[in-house]
Amino acid sequence: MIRVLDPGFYTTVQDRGRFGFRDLGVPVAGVMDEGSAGVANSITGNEPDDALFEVTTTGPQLEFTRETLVAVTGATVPVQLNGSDFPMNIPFQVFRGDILSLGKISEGARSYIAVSGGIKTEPVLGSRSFSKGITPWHVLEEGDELPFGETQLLHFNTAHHWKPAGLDSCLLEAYKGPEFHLPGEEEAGLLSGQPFTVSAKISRMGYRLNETLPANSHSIITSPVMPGTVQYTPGGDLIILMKDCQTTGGYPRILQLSRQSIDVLAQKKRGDQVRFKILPE
Amino acid sequence: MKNFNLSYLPYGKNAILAKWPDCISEEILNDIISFRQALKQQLKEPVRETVPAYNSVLIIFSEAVRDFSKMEEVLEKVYHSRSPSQNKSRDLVHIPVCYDKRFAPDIDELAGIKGISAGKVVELHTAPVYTVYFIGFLPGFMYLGGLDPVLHQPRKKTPRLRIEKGAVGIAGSQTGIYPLESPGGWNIIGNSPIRFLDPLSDPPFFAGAGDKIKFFPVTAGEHEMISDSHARGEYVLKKEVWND
Repeated sequence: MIRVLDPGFYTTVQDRGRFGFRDLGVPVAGVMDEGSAGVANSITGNEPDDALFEVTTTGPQLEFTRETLVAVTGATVPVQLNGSDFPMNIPFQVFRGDILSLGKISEGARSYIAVSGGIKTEPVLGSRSFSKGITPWHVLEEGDELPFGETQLLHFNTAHHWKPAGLDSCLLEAYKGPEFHLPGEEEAGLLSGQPFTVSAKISRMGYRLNETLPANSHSIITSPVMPGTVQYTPGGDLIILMKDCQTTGGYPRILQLSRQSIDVLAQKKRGDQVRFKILPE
Repeated sequence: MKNFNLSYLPYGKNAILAKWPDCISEEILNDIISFRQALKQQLKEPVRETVPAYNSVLIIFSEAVRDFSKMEEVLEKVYHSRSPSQNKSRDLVHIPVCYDKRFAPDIDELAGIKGISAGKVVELHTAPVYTVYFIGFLPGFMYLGGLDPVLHQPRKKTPRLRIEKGAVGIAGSQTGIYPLESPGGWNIIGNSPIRFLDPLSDPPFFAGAGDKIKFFPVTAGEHEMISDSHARGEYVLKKEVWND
């Protein structure tokens, strides 16, 4: 078991997401930065689909009730085991009674803690990703106890030089969305011409940007959306939907981020700048 | 069977949006149901899932689509080989709603605007057989068609920060039920005590696109009783077969 002594600011359990239920309005959820989460799983000998912790702003304090291997990747964060500093991107052993603490994230927005064997909370609709109204928990709380799988101590690796895509890059590569041509050439030109700033309105559901495009009266009949969809609201706001987003929406979908660019955005926080690069069709 | 002129729009690397003309109709709804069924049966490419809405279906593939125009041809071929929804019978689900004042903060205002009594609002809201167009927005949120035009009412100017789970509301020409607590701008006229999405049961939801819904009024006491028996897993929704 892993006992949550302190949940941190906003810690959840995520895997690669919940697929096949979007026609019931069920969000995909899943890790925001797939690259960093994938590395964490890989270096602890886990499968890509194994569930792990996603940490935001300030990390949790976790007590282990049996031996395993853990690794921390993603946004830069101080890692301590029983009060001693440990490096990121390298798996290390923890024993019964050990306490793992993550401090405040200094660079980036989301860190990942993989536990060898994977976190084994009960899957709901085929996934362990926390989701409001779907899983019994939607965020880690003090006193929670989470089971984890059998440790694969034989298979592990290191990733000394791993750095999340979003720490170095601010480039969001995007395909033209279904309504790219609806706003008009001028607005489309504005998209790739200027930098945009991440606003304070950001969550696992979506990122709103500070700079706006001209207000407009474009709307569409409610239609499906996906993580990575850039919506253009009547007020001119740009909202980039992320993993916990709703399944349908009524705003024009002007761009669709590439998978890698969702990883980049997942590491951005309030005040960070991003630029769009529109990919050829 | 009428063939619509569909457009196929690339949507990222892994998905294609099939789009019908810009309107909301039962004819398009039934065509979407047939198309999804044909996709499920005939498409050999690995599809992760298909997501329907009023006049579109998003087809999400497990892998990147390499040749978009070729895939467009494949999809168009599947569309033309679909069979009509074979007079498929649908379910009619009866959903209890309590229109008591304590659950209906906006019913008096709505009745006032319309120049009718709150009782008449209830009568008009419980009379129609609504059609489920699709489920979206929140887990288990049904987009329903069939609201009496007398009850059409724009969203509130200032959205509420918190709308209760089960709240029954009106926004424009739509009526719907909030399956989860959420912020929102709908005019709230009642509350349903039932649980909308039950992830642990199979299927997790009691209705799908094309099914029918009818509301029936319950008292505050019945609301509580149903809510309790639902929590114990004992409440069974009344369902009947509906033939068009």
